Amino acid sequence: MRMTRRTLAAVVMAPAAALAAQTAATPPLAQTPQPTDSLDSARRQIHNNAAALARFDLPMATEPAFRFEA
Amino acid sequence: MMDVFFSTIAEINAHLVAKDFSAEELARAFCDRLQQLGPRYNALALALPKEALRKAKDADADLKRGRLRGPLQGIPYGVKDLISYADHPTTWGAKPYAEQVFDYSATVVEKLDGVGAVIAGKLSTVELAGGGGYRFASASLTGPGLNPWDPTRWAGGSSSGPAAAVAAGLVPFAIGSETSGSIVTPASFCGVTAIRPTYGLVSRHGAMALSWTLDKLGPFGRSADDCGQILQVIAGGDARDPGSAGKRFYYTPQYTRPLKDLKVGYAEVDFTDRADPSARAAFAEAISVLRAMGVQLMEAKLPDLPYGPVLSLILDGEMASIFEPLVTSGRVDELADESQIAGLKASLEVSAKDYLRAMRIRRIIQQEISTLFTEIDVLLAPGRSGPAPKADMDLNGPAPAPGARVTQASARNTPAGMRGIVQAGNLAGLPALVLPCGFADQLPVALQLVGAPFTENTLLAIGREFQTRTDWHRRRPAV
Repeated sequence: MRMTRRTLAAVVMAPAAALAAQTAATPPLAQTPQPTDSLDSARRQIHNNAAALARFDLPMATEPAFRFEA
Repeated sequence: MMDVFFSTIAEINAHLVAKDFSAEELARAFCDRLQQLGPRYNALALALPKEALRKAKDADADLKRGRLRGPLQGIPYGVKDLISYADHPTTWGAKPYAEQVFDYSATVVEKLDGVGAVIAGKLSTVELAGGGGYRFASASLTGPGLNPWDPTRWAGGSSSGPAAAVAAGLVPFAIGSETSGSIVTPASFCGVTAIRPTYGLVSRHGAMALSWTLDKLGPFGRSADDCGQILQVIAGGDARDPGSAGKRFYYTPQYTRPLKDLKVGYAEVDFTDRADPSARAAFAEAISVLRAMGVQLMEAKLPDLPYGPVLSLILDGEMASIFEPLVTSGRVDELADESQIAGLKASLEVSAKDYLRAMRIRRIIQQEISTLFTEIDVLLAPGRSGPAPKADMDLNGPAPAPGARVTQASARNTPAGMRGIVQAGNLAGLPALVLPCGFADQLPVALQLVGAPFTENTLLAIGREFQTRTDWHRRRPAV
């Protein structure tokens, strides 16, 4: 379940002013997104996530997790 | 019979052993109630009354002969509809799989069957466990999961049916799943106790895969004690699940360290500035109960790491590999939610480089979390920051996380605290126990206790003591 993924991205990426403007301008449930809008948004989300991780200082010796509990 | 619908497993078991009623009578009562009230909350995916009555008769026969199989014998239950039950539909909550039937049952169903528990129905789920990222609660073959405490509110996702069914007294317990929040969120919103087990403790054989390295199955019940009893049955190694840890679980909270020796890390800000104002009083009271129990509460915070982006990229990458045939066939367009469709399509574009980078950062996350647990035994945070949102809320909209009315700007300006604990906990495979802890606007709110891997008994010991001092888990909605 990933219901907060887009929200998370909004928190991380969007300036507060833009969010405030969006709050005022978007009536809840009044608009149905066009499929292309949704797909663009999903692609942008993946790009933004990858960009966020690209900024992370990752030591070259770090191997991927191969056990999935800490 | 009315009180039985909200009784604990131990209480029902005592009635069965005392022959106050038979397992068949019990199964009939729960099946009738599940079929009658389940649709009210869009909680029911498939009723199984014939199977329930057959298994209940078997349980009665065993009880009559003195063949006692444990506290779950004769107890009805439901499973999230991404868990297979042989020769019956397993829809994964999604139209493209509406006719799907497996010829085998999931390991958890086999294990519950083995101790005489009685399957009563399949319970609703957000389509494909919400992996694509859904915009509306209606992203399900069964419609939006509605909250028994207020049907205009969401039950939470993606284990909507298990949480709502337990909350409404439609089944004594249920099995759900979590990849990132799908047990913690609906349990919190519906006011039921639940455990997200350590990764690998419970076999996922026969359950839909969304993310091989993140998926877990876990119980929803009426108390911490119930969840411990259920977990003991469903846990254990399974060669059919490559992620299985090969460990058993014995519910023995009495043998954990004394509560006064336990260090519980929490961030005050999570329960105040970052919490919904309506929930703050309940959270404050819950913390005072924990303090009175004698645990050592101490200020703590999660390491500052990019939990959200890491989890999203891993989930997207694994989901893309699993559901590529759905996308390339075009049947993905049959899903109910536009954002899910888009998320699944876009996930095919995750590169191997980015997936592996996420998995490498995941290792650092695991190391940091492991270090944190050398100083602290348990992490404490709200289950959700506030009560359930409206069922028609736009989950991708400008409002912050469901249930929270804290503005994004204010959230960004508060200290980190345990922000990201759901993602961090899932990335590190940590167990979590959800405990109802009060009400906000007449809706339940909850705590989550997160421990190091395989410390379920420690969490349950705290939960059990908390529930001897409070009765929030005993509250019931007016259904």
